[in-house]
Amino acid sequence: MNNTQIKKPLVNKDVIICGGGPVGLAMAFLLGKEGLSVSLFERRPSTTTLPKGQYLHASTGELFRQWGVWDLLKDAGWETEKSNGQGFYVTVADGPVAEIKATFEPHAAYVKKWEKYSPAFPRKVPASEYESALRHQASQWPKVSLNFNSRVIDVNQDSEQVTVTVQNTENAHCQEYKASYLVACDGAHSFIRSRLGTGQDHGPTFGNQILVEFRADLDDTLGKDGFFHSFVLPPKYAGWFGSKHPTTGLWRYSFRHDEDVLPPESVMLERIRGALGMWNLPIEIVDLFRFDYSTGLLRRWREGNVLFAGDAAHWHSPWGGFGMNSGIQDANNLAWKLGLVIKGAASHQLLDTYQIERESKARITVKSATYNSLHYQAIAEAVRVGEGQYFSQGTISPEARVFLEQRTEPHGVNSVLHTGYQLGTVYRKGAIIASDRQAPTPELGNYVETIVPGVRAPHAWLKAADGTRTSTIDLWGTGFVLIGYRCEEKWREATAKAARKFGITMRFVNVDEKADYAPEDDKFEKLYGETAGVPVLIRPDGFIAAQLYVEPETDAQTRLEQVMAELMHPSAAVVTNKLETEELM
Amino acid sequence: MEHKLSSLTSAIVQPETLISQPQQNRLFIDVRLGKPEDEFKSYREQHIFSAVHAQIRDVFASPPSPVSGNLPLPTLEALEKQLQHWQVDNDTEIIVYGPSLALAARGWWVLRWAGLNNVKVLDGGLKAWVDQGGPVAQGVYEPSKRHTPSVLTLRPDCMPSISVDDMVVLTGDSVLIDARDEASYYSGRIPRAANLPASEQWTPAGKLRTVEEIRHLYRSVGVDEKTDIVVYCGGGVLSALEVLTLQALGIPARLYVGSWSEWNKKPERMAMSDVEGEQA
Repeated sequence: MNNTQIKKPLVNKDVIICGGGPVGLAMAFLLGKEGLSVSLFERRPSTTTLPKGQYLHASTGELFRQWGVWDLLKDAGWETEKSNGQGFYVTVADGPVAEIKATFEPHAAYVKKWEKYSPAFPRKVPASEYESALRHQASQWPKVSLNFNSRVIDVNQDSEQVTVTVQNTENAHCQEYKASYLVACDGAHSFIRSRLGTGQDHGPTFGNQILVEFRADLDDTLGKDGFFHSFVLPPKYAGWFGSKHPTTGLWRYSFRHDEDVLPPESVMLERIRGALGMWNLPIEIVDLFRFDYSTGLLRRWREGNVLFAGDAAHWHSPWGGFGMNSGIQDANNLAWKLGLVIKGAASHQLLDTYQIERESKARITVKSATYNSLHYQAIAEAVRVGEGQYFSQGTISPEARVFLEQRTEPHGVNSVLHTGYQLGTVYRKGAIIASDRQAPTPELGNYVETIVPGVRAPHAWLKAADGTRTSTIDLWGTGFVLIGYRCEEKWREATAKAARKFGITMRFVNVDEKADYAPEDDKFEKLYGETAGVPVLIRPDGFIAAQLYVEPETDAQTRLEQVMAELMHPSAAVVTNKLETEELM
Repeated sequence: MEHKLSSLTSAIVQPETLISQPQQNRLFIDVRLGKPEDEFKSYREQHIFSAVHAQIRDVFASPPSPVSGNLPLPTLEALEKQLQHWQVDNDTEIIVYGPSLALAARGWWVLRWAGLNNVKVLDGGLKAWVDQGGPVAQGVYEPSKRHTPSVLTLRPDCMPSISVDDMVVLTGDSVLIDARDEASYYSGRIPRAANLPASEQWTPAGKLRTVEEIRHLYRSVGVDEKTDIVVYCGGGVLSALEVLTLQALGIPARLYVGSWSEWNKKPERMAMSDVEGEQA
C-alpha cells in the first residue's frame, strides 16, 4: 500500500459505526438523538444505488414515523396496486396462471385495514430512497459525522477503547480513530466480524443470481397485473420479473446463471423476450448485477466493546425482505442501551440484553428467509415437472394449476405480509420485568395484540388535548414512557422523581376522556382496560418493560424505582446467555 | 466409540471431543490441494472458526524439481516461518482437516516429520464439525496474538520415510502398498506393489471407516504387525493417510514421499515398472 502513513487519532468518539447501510445510518441517527458523538465509516461513495431491499415492514414504518423518515418517504416507492404480491406465469404475455396478493382492495382500503394494527403499513420503497432519507435525518445531529469513501482496514480493542484504521478510498490516506464502543453494521461479509467474531453457524447459500435492469414498455402487461414479483415457470426462462422502479422506470429480471462468464447481450435479450413471450419488444439493457447470498448467524454479538448488528450478526437470502427490517430493529434495540451505558445511567451488562433479546428474532429471521427461498424454488420446480407440452402452448395443465393453488394457499396473504413477524416480536428475557402472564408465542402469520411485558407495545389511536390524532406508537422513541388507562396522578410525581434519580428521560401519559390523551375508539380500552389503573412501562424502543401492579398511593415511587434499577442494572442471572437445558427440551 | 480409529490413537480426533474440550493453544489448519484461487475462495466462504488456510504446495511441500516428485517435502526453514506466523509453538495442539482426509493426513505427516508431537487429524473434516454444532466462520482468519508463543523447535526426519534410491533396492520382504485408485495403479506402478486405494478407507460422508473395516482392508494385502511396510501414491498425499491409519492400528510404515511422480522421472526405473496391461 502506498501513502499508508497512519496519522494518530486526534479525537475520541463515543461510538464508531462501521457501515453506512440502513442499519448503520439508523444507528447513527438514534445515537445522535441521544446526544452521543458518533463517527460512521462507509467505503461506498454514497448511500446505495443497488436495486434491492425494497420491502418496508409496518414495524419499520412505525420507527420511520418516530424518526421523521416516513414523512420524507411520503411520495416515494411503489403504489400498493403496483407492488402487490406474487404472480406465476408461463409467459408474461399470456397472463398469470396463479397469484398471491397482499391485498385485493385498493390502496386506501389497504391502509385503512392496517390502521387497526399500526399507524404505518407495509410498503415497497427502493433502498436508495430510504437510505438517503435516513442519512438526511442522521446528519442533522451536530455530533454525528458520516464519512463515505472510508474503508475500515484495521480494528483493535483493549479494555478501554476500540481503535480503527480508516483508509480514504480516493487518496488512500489512512487515519486512526478511537471510540469507547464500536457497532459493526458492515453487512453479510462484515470485516469487523472477520477480525473479532468468535464463530458462526452457517446455512445454505444461494449463489449466482443475476439481476438485469432494463427499459421496456410493459405498462399494459406486467404493470397492469401489478405483482411485485412475477415468476416465470418454464425451465428455459426460469426466473422472475420485478415491478417497474418508481423513479428510474426500469424493470428487473433475475435468474440463476452458474457460469463465471456472463451471457452476451444477445442471449440476455433473447431470454427476457422469451420469458415475456414478446419477441419483438424493444428492450434496452441498462445494468446488470450479480449476487450471491449465504446464510449465517453469529454466535456472540458482543466482543468487549464491539457489538454486531444487522447482516453482520445474521445474514440470509433476501426473500421476505427481512434483512433491512430486522437490522433496523436491532439498531432500535441497541441504541438506547448504548446511550444509557455511555452516559453512565446504566451498567454495561445492559448491553448483554441486546443479543439475548434480538437473537431469538434473528433465529426466526434466518429460518424464514431460508424457507422462503427454498419454498418458491420448490414450488416452481415442482410445477415445472411434466409440463413440456403445456408450456409450448403457453399454459399449464389443470393439475399444475390445482397444485399451484394448493401449494401457495397455506402461504397466502400472510406469507406475503408476515403480519406476525412484523408486529408480533416478543422478548422472553433481557431488559424486561416478566409478569405472570405469558406473551403469546410469536407466529409468522398471525399477530395477537397484548400488553404483556416483552412485546412491542401495540398501537391504538389517541386524541391529544388539541384534537390531533396520534398513535400510541408516536409517543415512544424519546426516553421511557409510563402509560396507562385511568391511572392515579400519583404516578406522574413518581415518574418525575425516578427520572431525576436515574438521570434519564421518562414521562407519564394518562389516557382517559379528560387526561393527557383521550382514546379515539375502543381499542385502547380493549388493550389497557382490563388492567385500568395499572401503568405500563414502555422502553425507549417501544417495547413493554413492565406492568406496575401496586397501590399507587403508597407504593408507586418505590415500585417504579425498583423496576428501573432492575432494568438499568441487570443481574448476572438475566444476562448469562447460556443455553438452558430447559429451553432445549 | 470403540469402533472408531480415533479410540486407538491420539492422532485422529472426533469433532465432539474438540468442542467439549476447548483449548487456548489450539490451531486449526484447513489443508487444500486444488486450484489455489478456487480453494482459497472456498476457504473464505466457510471454514472452522479460527482455522488458517494452507495450500499443500506452499506449506506442506516445496516446489518440484525436474527429477523430484510433484510434492517434495518443504524445507524446515519455510515450514518454521509459516508456523511462527501462525503463532505455533511446541505445545500447540494442531488440528488438520481438509476436503478429504488424505489432504489432512499429508499435513499431519509433514508436521510430525518436522518433530511436532501434538498434531491431530479431524475425522470427517468440516462437515462432521458442522454436524456436531461446531462454530464456523467466513473470511480470512488472522491468528492474533492471543497468547505469546513459547519455543518452536523443528527437526527433520521424525517420521519413517524411504528415499528413491532405497526404493530401487527394496526387497520382496517388505510389503509395498500403492494407495492410488485402481485406474492409476493399473496404468503404471512400482514392481510388487499391491493396490489399496486410500479412498476405500473413508465413507461417502468423509469419515474414517471402522477399525474392523480398515483392519480387514490391510489384511487383504498381507499386512500384519510384523511386516515392513512401505506406502506410496502419486505424490505423498493418499499414502500419508494410510501411514496414519496403519499407525492407529499399531503398525509403523515408511512413506515414500516422492511416490510415483518421482519414480517415473527416470527411464531405468520405468523399465523395472509394471505398466499397463501386465498384471503383477
